Amino acid sequence: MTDRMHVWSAGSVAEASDGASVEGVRVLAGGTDILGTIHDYIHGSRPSALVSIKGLDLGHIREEGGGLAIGAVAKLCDIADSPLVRAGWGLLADAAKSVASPQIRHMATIGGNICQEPRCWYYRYPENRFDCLRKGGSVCPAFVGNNVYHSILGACRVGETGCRSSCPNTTDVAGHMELLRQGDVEGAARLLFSVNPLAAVTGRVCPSTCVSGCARAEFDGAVGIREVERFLGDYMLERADAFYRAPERESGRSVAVIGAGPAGLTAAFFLRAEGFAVTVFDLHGEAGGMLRYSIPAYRLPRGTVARIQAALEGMGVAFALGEGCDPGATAESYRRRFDAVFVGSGAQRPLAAGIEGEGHCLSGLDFLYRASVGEQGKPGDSVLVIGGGDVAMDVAVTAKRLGAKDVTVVYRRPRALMPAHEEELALALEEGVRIADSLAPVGAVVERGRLVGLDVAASRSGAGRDTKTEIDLGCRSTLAADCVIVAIGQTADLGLYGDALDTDGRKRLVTDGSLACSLGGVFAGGDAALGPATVIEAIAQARRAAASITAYLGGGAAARAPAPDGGEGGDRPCAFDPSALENSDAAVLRPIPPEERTLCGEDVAEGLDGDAVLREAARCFNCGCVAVSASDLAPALVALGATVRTNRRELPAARFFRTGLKSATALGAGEIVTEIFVPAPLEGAYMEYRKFRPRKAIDFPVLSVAVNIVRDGGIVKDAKIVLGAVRPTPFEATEAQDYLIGRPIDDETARAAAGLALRDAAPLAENAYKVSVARALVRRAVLAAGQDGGAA
Amino acid sequence: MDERLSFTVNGQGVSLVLGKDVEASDRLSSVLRDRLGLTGVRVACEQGACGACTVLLDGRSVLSCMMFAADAQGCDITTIEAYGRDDPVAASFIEMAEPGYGTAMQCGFCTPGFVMEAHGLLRENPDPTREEIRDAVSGHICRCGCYHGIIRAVENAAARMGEGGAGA
Repeated sequence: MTDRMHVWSAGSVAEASDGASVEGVRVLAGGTDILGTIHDYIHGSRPSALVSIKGLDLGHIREEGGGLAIGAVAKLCDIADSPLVRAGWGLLADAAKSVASPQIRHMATIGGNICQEPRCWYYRYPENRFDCLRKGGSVCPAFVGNNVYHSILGACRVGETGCRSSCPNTTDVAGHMELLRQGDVEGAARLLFSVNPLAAVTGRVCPSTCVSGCARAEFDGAVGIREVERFLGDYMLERADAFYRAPERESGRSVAVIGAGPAGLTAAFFLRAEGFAVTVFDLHGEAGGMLRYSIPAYRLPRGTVARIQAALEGMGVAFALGEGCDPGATAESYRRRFDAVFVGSGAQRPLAAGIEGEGHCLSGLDFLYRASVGEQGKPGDSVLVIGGGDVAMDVAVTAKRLGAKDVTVVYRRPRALMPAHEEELALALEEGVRIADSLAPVGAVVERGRLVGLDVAASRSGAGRDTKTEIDLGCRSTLAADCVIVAIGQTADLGLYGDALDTDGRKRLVTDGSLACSLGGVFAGGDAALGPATVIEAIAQARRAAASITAYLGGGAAARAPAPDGGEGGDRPCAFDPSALENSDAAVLRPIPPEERTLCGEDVAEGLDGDAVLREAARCFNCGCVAVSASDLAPALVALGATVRTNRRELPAARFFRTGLKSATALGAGEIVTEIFVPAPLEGAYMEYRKFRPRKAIDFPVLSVAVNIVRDGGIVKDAKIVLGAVRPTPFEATEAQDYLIGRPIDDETARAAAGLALRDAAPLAENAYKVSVARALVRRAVLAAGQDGGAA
Repeated sequence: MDERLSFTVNGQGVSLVLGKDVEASDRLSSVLRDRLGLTGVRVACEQGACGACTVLLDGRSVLSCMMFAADAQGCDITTIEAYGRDDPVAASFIEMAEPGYGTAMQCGFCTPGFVMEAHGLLRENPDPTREEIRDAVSGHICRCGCYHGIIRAVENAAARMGEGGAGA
């Protein structure tokens, strides 16, 4: 294959750095790694250019103040054969000598060796076949795939887990699952609570897009994320006093929150927590908005929303509901009375179907509203519901439970295109609701002032919901019905206060990146800004808006917790439960039998208990990369306490190796390794590099260990034991090191040190053998140090 | 003025116009084979595992498929074409080409790589032990499985060169 790429030789490090700062340009040294990745197209594209540093004057191997300085492009063969290196740092010479084959060592450089990309075969599969975590994907195929050579000391987080990146509110699901596994229910609830004070709601009604990102889905079934969330959400409400706490200090500023739906409640919580005086306004008599008046109580019990309202009141949020809310107020009038305003008024204006005789039809939202306040009787014997979304499903099931004999949902596209979430559709079908798809409503049939049916016409639709439907008026029929309910969608209902704010063509409030509206000090979130969306999207937006309002008001009074590790990669270990590797069924919450279901009692009467939650948490893979650090030089350099010098800084070797996206180092863009510095060896140090691999040559280490042990009178004074190929970065066995210091080396201490080094081993399904081999390598290397005459 | 890629191959100077005769991103192996007709350079795995493409670059064995042509700028390259029948290493292989157990070459595809590697080794270490020879050829694959014969051929070559007192 001819790879027509620009390949050029840099004249200086600065020139190379400038070149490599450009996206898509890579640094070329020996080329033995990079040419393979290009040849196999492992990234699905080639670098746009390669800047070669081979010609730079960085090939030196020389003494520097008793230590050793090795230029980045020094060849491995020269390091292996250097009398200087051999005399003082034999470990490094051995590690270099163990790499691949003579030809590779004649070409490969030390800089390239420590910068090589992960060696996982999924990562390196030709043509970028696996979009793994390390490449920015959301799944690690090795975790449950072929992992004989992979990590035995856990995974490292790279980027964001699939669940988190699939959640509009970027909920750190893996984070709270990990805390649950540690038995820290309180901590898990706190972590979730920090982004979602409405978890008891989303734990019941969230469409759980997170599950679509769950790596376990393809293994044996996604983790029951929502089921666990329900448990944690209820936990928060049961301890509302401890969770929804009044701020310790008042900020002295006030915020009006318009709308008591999910966005308003969320904004009220976060703003109150910052010490603002918050008042929530809503024309309805009770808080909750759609949660209270649209989502049927059999899915979300009224008590849940009421408890959240009570919890917010407990932290000092004021509610001005129903008559307490002035229907004539405008955004401007609120703005005059408050320092800032959050508009979360939702999307509650039903869209009309635009059919003849629509006046004889009911609106779905009105229908659900009346049902929610107990004013809706049986709508008829034979009910038609026009629409195909979640509201249509709620309407259909509610109609059924109000006593309607036949309920049919009329949808103008094929059933497969229905926007309703699968679960809602399934419930409707289970309760006997019928679906009549690819039928467009034409007009209500009215006889003597009474509705008797609906005229429909066949309709054809393209492959997606964004295509137009073609209605064949020649192919018409009449569906008999004594009630037709239109539930084809809703739009924002801004009322009077919308006048002063800019809206778009779909009547949504126009906001900027900080969710600020066109009027200063007014911010928006939820359906009023998004158009009809989900509860979790409203929560996510309200959380963002609350942060913007806090910033707008010059900061809140809440103490700032340090930002959590934002999944930037690095070295964050992701512990998992070994039982996660065995097949198990996901927890499923079973609804009560259909004949026992009512309109006001929750269908799923009971959530998971504590044990079931723990089992579910144990099923979480805690997704991270399990590719191992395959560089032979890496553990040697860490054991020698080496420093990596770049064109920008000096880094201890232990901090140079990272678990980055498409990278195994801490190097930034345009940053180039220029030199490695190894300090002078300690007097009488015993050094050794041991490597286990299938063949004596060519192969990367299946395991390796670098030891650097100093004894005095037979007692260990200092010890470095660093393992390679056991985890994504070199592993310094600090406990084993600490144990050895002050002890003599004998069978017993060597064995104990080896045991400590591998104490936290968490092998994957196919690599438990690596634990015993690693233990043997450490034990033998330590014993060899003890038998080394020169050091005793 | 055209940018040129210049190096010597088997003692002869070569100068190619970059962007016309050759791309900087062409593999050295393809330039040697396709541009210069040195088809003794074998290309098989193209990932640095088989050693068939081994040539000497300034006297050291390298994988010509794992190098960009541009990286050979100013270098001295030796390929199998540099050696005739009288070359002590080549002669040792030819001598042991009889079919049967112990042969050093059967299909011959990998042989140029082994011969180049042996030259690189003997240049630095004229009297290698068997273990050193094994280590030196560890980056080569012979799919006919003639490893034993190959090791002996290299030993014979070392002996031959020792007797003759002549280097390669």
